[in-house]
Amino acid sequence: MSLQRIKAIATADLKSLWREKAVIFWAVIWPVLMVFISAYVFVPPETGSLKTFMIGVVDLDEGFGNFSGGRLLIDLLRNISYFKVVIYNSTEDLMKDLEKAEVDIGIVIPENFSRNLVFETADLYVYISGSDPQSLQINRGFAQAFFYHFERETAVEKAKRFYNYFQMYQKNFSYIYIPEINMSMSEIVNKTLVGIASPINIFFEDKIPRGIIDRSSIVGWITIGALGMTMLYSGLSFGATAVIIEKERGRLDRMIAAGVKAQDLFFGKMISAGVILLAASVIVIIIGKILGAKIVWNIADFRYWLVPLNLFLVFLMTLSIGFMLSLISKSSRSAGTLGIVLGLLLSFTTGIWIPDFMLPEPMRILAHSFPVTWALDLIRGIMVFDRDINMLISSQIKVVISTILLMALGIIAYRKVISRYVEIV
Amino acid sequence: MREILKVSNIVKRFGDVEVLRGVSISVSQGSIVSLLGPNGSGKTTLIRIIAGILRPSSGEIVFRGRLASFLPQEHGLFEELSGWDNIMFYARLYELRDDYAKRRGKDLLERLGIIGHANDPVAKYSGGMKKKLSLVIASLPDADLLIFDEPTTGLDPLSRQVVWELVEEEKRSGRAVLLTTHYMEEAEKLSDYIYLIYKGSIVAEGSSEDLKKRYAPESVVEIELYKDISRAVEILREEGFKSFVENDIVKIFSENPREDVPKIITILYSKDVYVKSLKVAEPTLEDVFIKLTGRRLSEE
Repeated sequence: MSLQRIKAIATADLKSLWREKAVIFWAVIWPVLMVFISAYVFVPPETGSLKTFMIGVVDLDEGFGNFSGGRLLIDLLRNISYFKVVIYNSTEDLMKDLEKAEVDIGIVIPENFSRNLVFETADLYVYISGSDPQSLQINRGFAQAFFYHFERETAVEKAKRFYNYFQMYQKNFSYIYIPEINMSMSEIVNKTLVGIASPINIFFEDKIPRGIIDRSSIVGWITIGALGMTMLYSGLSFGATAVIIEKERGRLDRMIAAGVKAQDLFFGKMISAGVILLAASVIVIIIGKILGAKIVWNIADFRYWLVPLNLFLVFLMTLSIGFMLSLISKSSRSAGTLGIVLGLLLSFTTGIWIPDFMLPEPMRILAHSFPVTWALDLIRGIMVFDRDINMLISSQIKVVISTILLMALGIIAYRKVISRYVEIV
Repeated sequence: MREILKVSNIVKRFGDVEVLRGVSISVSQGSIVSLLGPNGSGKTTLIRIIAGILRPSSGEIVFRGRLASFLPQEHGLFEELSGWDNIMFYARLYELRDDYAKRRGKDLLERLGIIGHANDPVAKYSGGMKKKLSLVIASLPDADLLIFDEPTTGLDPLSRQVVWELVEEEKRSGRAVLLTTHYMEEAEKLSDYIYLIYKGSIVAEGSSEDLKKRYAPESVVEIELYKDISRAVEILREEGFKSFVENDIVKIFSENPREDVPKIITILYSKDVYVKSLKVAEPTLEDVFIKLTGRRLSEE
């Protein structure tokens, strides 16, 4: 093995690859485009922030004494940060805007609403709009949740008013004491009425997996996916064409006659492909960061040093699979195409570009058994989801063992391919 | 002269096909040796074995030098890189010092007339320029033996002349040159010793003069006709003359042109085939090859 020859091969190959438009397109432009498109089209900047609902209200209620149910409802709506309330003068105007989906929820408060609210059952007209079935469903859900809350508040208010009347006109009855439950009749009536109006207090609390919900984490996930996709098809393509292209262009004979050994060519090719993929990775990560990806690096934390290790292991694995592909390739053109097509196909079916929970069951099995996905998930776990080392260690061992096995098979394939053309190496 | 390369009884099989059948050749220091044969005769396989790319099925190769340099038929260049980049790439593979490679490369580029294009990408070169650059690269190392596979294929006559001069200069500097060619005049002009190879075997060997003396008829009668060229060949063959057509000229081997020429003219006139011109020529290596194998060098 000669370092001078390895360096010469790596340098010439690198210069040659760097000047090939197709290599630049697939290694740099394509992944950057994918991150860019995904970040702005599939995960637009407003992703993860709360939706603001447009509420249109027509208030025809004239109030009851000093109580206005309509005013109470409008104030409640205005107190909710994600509701924007617009008051309409007529039902017709509201309907027009609902039909144009400029308003998400329309409310018509009819005449005598306050009076009926106090003494009977009040009617309220709610209209739901939506530009598509999904937003219609969301708008309806939010409207129902709000009015459930409003109904309870109203019921409690009615109970309190009734209790006040009760206390005012049934004073003697109110002071009766019931020793079994250590309460006065007045207290019993009060609590029972409030209990009927609001029988259960339900406490909701959001428990969101760390780092998964916000846009920056999604773009971070996508950025690592684009990186993995690039390394996969580029590695496969470089590995598949490494020997065949040298043979086709007549350089292999010349190199061997000049004393180049199989291992010189192997390492020279590996270095040039590695440099290109390293450059592509840095560019993809920078673009991801610019587009708002959550990608964290902490030099002082040991876990983060597993990231370059895993990128290197991904590179070795994909290159090795590429060497195996060259066994079935007859020309550099077919080898390159096979590498890119298979690489893209695997990216979309093994959880590299599309999250595994979105894949159908058979593909999910493939995703869970593909070592390149394990390595990329490790990188995501560290850089995007800030996972603990204990959660990573078993995957890391699996990735290292898989890389060693794939490398062994790749080297066997490489030697077999080179001996197809050159018998003395 | 010291023998620098000895190839003995080389047999090469690819599966069931025997491509070389016990080939033996020898190359001495300061000489030019040619392997002359048609395409598919086994020249390139033999040269790839000598260059260390293929392993012979049997036989022995003894190389008594320090370094051999190889010019393959295909250029083996990086098309996206410049001429200089290619030169420096191969110089580093041969583990040459950069300053030596630059000096030698510049000299060779000047001699072959492509120095003005040295910084251009090879993709912009013509076929002839690529061949010349390829030759520059093969001549870079201070090798004892230069192995050139078809060095002038694809070159125009003027460039061919330049390459021949370069090869002769290499010989004068004491290097041995082993080249393959299917150009009869190239072998004839350059070679001190020629091996005629056909279907994987050496069918004859010697200097150009030796071969012609030993194997070629004394003369070749060349006849130009107004028309009926194919018919004339048929008529002459029926009359027992070994004849063939080359570049619209009917060629007839003759041990005794004094007797044969009048006979040929008479036969042709009697069949209404009229002669435009007639020449009695010295035999060439092509004639030797035809005599030995029954086919021409340029036939596929």
